[in-house]
This record gives sequence, structure tokens and C-alpha cells, in this order.
Amino acid sequence: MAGHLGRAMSFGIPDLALGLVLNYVDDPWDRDAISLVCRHWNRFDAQSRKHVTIAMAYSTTPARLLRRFPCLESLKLKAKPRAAMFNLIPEDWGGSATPWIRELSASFSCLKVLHLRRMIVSDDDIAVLVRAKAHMLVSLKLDRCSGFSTLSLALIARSCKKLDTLFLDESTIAEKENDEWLRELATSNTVLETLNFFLTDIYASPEYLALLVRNCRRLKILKISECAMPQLIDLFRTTETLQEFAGGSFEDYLDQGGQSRNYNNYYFPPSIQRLSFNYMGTNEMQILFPYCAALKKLDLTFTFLTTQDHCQLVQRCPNLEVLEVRDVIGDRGLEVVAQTCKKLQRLRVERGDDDQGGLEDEHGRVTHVGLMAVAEGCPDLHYWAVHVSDITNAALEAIGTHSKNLNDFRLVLLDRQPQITEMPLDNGVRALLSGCTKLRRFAFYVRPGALSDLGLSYVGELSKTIRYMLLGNVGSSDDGLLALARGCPSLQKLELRSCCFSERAIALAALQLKSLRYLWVQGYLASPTGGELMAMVRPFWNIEFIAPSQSQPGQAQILAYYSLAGARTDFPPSVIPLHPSVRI
Amino acid sequence: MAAEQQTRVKGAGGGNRFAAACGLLRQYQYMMGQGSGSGAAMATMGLMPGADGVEAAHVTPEERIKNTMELLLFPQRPGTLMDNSHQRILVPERAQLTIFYDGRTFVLDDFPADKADQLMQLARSFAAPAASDDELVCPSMPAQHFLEDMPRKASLQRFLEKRKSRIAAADPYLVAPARAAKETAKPVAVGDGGAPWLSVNSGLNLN
Repeated sequence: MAGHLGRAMSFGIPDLALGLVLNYVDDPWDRDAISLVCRHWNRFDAQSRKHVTIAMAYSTTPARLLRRFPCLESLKLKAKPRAAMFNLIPEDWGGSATPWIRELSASFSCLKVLHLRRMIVSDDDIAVLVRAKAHMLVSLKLDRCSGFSTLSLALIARSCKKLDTLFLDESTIAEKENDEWLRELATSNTVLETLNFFLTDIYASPEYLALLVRNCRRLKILKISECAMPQLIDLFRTTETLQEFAGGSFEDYLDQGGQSRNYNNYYFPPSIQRLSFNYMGTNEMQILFPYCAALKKLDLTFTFLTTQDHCQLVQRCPNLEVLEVRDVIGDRGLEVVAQTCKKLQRLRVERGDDDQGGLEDEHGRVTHVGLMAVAEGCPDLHYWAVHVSDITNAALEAIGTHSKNLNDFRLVLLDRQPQITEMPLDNGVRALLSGCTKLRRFAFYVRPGALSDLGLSYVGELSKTIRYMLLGNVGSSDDGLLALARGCPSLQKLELRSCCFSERAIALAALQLKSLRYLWVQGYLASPTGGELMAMVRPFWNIEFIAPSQSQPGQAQILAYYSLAGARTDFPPSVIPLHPSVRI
Repeated sequence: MAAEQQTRVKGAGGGNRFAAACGLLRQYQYMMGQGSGSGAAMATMGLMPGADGVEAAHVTPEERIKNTMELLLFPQRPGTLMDNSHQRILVPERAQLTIFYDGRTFVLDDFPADKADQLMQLARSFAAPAASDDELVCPSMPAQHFLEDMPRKASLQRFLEKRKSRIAAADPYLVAPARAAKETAKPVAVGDGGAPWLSVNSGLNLN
């Protein structure tokens, strides 16, 4: 019917109404769908799009972004592959923010929120950004970035008076002893709500932190680097609005006088809801007890707590929505979580120390027992990442049966135990994927033999909605990967590690996966020349080969992604582009 | 691995040879009556059968690999692979030519076999002296290229290292007993009224 009507009337919606309706459409997936209806709608979306996430900075250019979305207010940009967080990507891989910051500063007149993740941001970049955007910048996130110094932080603090969010989580920042920036921030900014420099190693003096809290009365989230907890008492007594705190540092077990430190009088404001402490031990844990009932988030990843300590703490926290721990929590700890935390939405169980070295507090092990308990006890879980030491099909089936709200599930099977109770896990994975119908992200990093080619065919068949997948040590032949690639119709990003797939199969899979736009592979059966990768050559598909080097030993990596920008030109010697753009 | 080898070649000043190879290719194209502009178009089109969605429909990726001849300007083991390529290019009179060199790829459609032969001769003359250089010998790769190690998040790695040094600093000689003594000395367990997990032997965890 639409074929008989003019484009302007085909949907019976006047432009004014269309504009009003679009104001209420924020979901980027909905926006993408709208922009594909017709040129007219595409223009409408382009003019009214407020936020864009670019998952791979080299997939487009700043100029192209400007052409399509000139009124952008907020941009999130990611560059280095995720593997960079595991020290697998050469430091000089690329990912400079310079071309982006130049264009954003010069041309995006509405931009006020910028989030750069895994990029290299220089002091010059920040100077350019501040010069152009100081009067509008509301939120700046330099998330796992590097290349800048605290001098730039001081410039930001001095100049960006409207900044309500400054986020530097896990960034590598030079001039780390200089905390003048913090004083500048405390004295120049009165609207700050979030300050995060958690897991950085820049120094922050307790005096300036206290000053900040005194002056920024709206501060809700404060996540800092290591700073002795006894020196932060004033800060916590001053603030009335703080909801989240992370960082600090509980001192060594004994102070210099040989006395155990006394934290009995420690105090947190009643507004506190989310906490994360560095190096907290058994003796200090008790300072949390009075606040446990109100806690929504608890991050114990960087503590010294034992399995028993985890049990005692969690037992007191019935309102937890987010819990992050190492596997020292053990199955016993997870059973307590299952009994206590009925509102839990996010659970992360990280891998603890493999090398025991006499540290008997690391005895905790997470297995199918803990998984089954949590699956049955925490029905609201939507994010669950867990490192397990042992696993059974029944545990995965239990997750499929009970965890109906999961949209992100990541399981790593550690290689500590010589024997796994049950392998392969094909049927368990089938049950999990059949049951968890909301799953969008799925990681299954196991041990050789834990997921057969048949299991991979189940994954292909049952992951209709999954957009991101990480698979490690799966499959036993190319057939497995090709069977996977016959399914997965929504898969956009695939990471493969430590699998026995040939280059040829990887290339064929990349061609077969209809939605794929990003592929990262490390550990595969390489051909003598690397030439079989060329089978996946196609328009706009950049293929990069990361060769092992002295500074980056290990195995070669393949990174391939769709790009409208063509091949990039900023390769270090260790990155070799395989791209048909070289012209003779 | 080829890529590694290519990097080394690059480092060893392969640029001149590369430039010479490009020059030669350009010369062939002129001889075949093509300007450099159309040559570029061809090189790109040959690699992009999916561009208009027509060819992709009837050429499967497998077939494409079969149809594409590979010519290595810098083979891994000079002599053996070259002979292979040599035999392959003699079969059809004209075919698509793909060259991997210095990490880059060149694709030429309808490349005459005799010209390819000459190109090979040229490549051989470049490769022979270079290959005698120890620097350029590609290390033999193990049969299994997949990994066994499991990477750890950098943030967690840093924490665990600090944690170790802290515990060692607290008692550099007897880390374990000191820690154990601390555990038993703590009053928390008593106060909690015999919760089952407090007395569990850690060995139970290991199944």
C-alpha cells in the first residue's frame, strides 16, 4: 500500500508530530531502526539524535559523525580492543583521541558530555577540548585512558565550572604526585556530583578531599585512589550527600608501633549505599556492619577478606543489588548470597590468586554448587560474570531454568583443578541459552573439551538475540565454528581466544555471520603465510594482524571490523593491516 | 608466522624492494594498456565481489579462495614455496593475482601467466640474498597455535601483586602461620554463634 502513496504521507505523520515523538525515543536500537525507514526519517533522526556510542573509533571518522549528527550532545567513543584490559594489546597500538577531539571541539556546538574509553588522550588534546568546551562541558569521562597528566586535570578543574562528572577510572595519569588539580576542583567547582579516580595511582591528599566534600555539596559519588582510611574520617563526617564511595586503603595489619589499628569509631554518612574498599581485612570489616542493611552495592574485589568474612558480611546485606568479589567467596559465600540477596541484579566473581603461596585465605572456590544456589536464589540477576573452578551441566541448566532476567552472562572455567566433574557442557549450554531468552551478551571461556563442536552448533542455533560473544577454548574442529556461524543472526561482536580453528574457518565464519561488525581472535591455527585470512576480505572490512613482539610476547592476534573510514594509517610496526586499499 | 616475518622484512629495509616491485607492476599494467587509474579500480574490485551484491550470490567464499591464486613475493622458505606457486601459475593463462607483501595485499585481475612468471623471477632475485640473512629467517611455529594461559584483568593483577607484597611485608618469614594465628585470634567467629561456615575445613572445597 505504501507504494501507492507519496513519501510525505506514507505514514500519515506530520513533521511536527514526528519530531515530538522522536523526542521520546532514546533507545539507540530504536533510533537506528527509525533512521532506516526513509531519507526523511533519517534526517529527522540525525538532527535530533542527542547521544551516540561509537564502539570502535576507527569504524568512522569525526567528519562523518559531524555530517550525520551535527546536534550531538553526548558521545561515547571506544578505541583499543577489550583485550587491552588484560595487557594483551601493544601499548602503541593506536587509539589516539586527537582527530576526534579536534573535530569535536571545532564543530560540535552542542556537545557537553564526552566519554572516551581505552584511548590515548594527550595534554594537548585536553587543552584543545577545554579551550572550546569549558563553558559547556558537563561530563568528562576518560575511562581506562592514558597519555595525559594531572596538569590537564588542573586545567579542567579550573576551567570547566559546569562539570558535574569527572571520571578517570583506571586511567594511567602522569605527574601522579601532584594533586593541585584536586584543590582547583574543590575551590572552583560547586556542582560536582561524581568524582572517580578509582584504580588510578595518582596521589590525593586527605585535606583536599575533605575540602572538596565541604565545597561540593552535591557530591554523590566519590571513588578515589589509595589513601589511608583513618585520614578520611573527617571527609565522611562532613558529607551528607555521599551515596557511593570506593578506594581508600586500610593500612597494613599492624601499624608501626606494632598495634592493630582501631577502626571502631569509623563513620559513614547515612546516605551511603555503595561501597568498595581496598585492602580491607577481617579486623576492619566490622566497621561496615552498621551500614550493611542499607547497602545496594558492595565491591570486595580488592580486599583481604576470607570466605568466612564474605559470608558474615553478605548475610547482613539483604538489599544488595550489586556484588563484586573474588572467587575467595567460595560456594559457601554464594549460598549466603542466594539466601540473603533477593534483589541482586549484578554479580561479579573475579578470579583470585592461583598461586597460593601460603595465603590460606584464598581457599575459596566457586563451582556448580554455588552457581545453582545463586540461580535459584537470585531471580532478578541480569548481569552475572563468574570464574568457576568446576562446573556441571546441571548448573548451567539451573541458570536456564531460573535466571530468566539475565541479559549478560559470562563464565570462565579456570584451569586450577586437574579434573572437571563433567565434560562436555554441550547440553548445559543448550539449556542455558534456551532458557535465558533475554541474553544479549554471552561469554564462555572454558577448557579444551568443555564445549564440543556439537555444543557450538547449539550456541549458533539458540543465540538469536545475542550481540556480543566471547568464546575461549571451545570446539574441536573447524566444523564447530562453521556450525556456530550458521546461526547467531544478531551477533555483532565476536571474540575468540585459544581455539583450534584455522584461519580459513575464521575467515569463512566472518563472512557467514550476517550481523558481524567486529572480530578479535587470539590463539588459532595460523597458516604459514597468513594468506587464508584474505578470504574474508570484503568492502569496508578492515583486517589487522597484530604480530607478537618483544614487548608483547604471546600469540598473534587478528582484529577485523567494519569501517567507513578506510584503513587507518597510524599503525605501529607490530600491527600489520591486511587491506585491499593499497593501489598500484 | 608470515606477519612476523613481514615485520622483520620491514625493519630490514624492505622498502626499496617494495618500491621496485610496485614500479614493475605499474610498468606491466601500462604494457597491458591500462592507465594507473583503471588499474587501481581493478585491484579493488577484484577483492570486493560483494560490493554490488551480485557476484557474492553465486561465488561462495570457498570458491573464491580456490579462484584466487597466491603469489608470495617473499616466501617463508625460499625455494620450496616458490616452486609451488610457480607450478600453480602455469596452469591457467590469465587469472586473478593476489600478492602479499610487507603486510599489504595487491589483487590484479586477469594477470597473464607469463608476466606472473617474470614477476616471480624478479621476486626470487629479491628474496634470495635477503633470505640468507639470519635476521629474516622466520622462526618455526609450533604445531598448535592456540593458547593455554588465561589472561587476568590488569587491575586485578596489580592488586594481587600488592597484596602479596603487603602480606610478605607484614611477616616476611612466616606468612602462613602468622595469618593463621590472626584468623584464630579474631573474636568475630565466637560472636556469630556457630554459623556453619565458620568451622568448615578449607579442604572440603576441593571436592
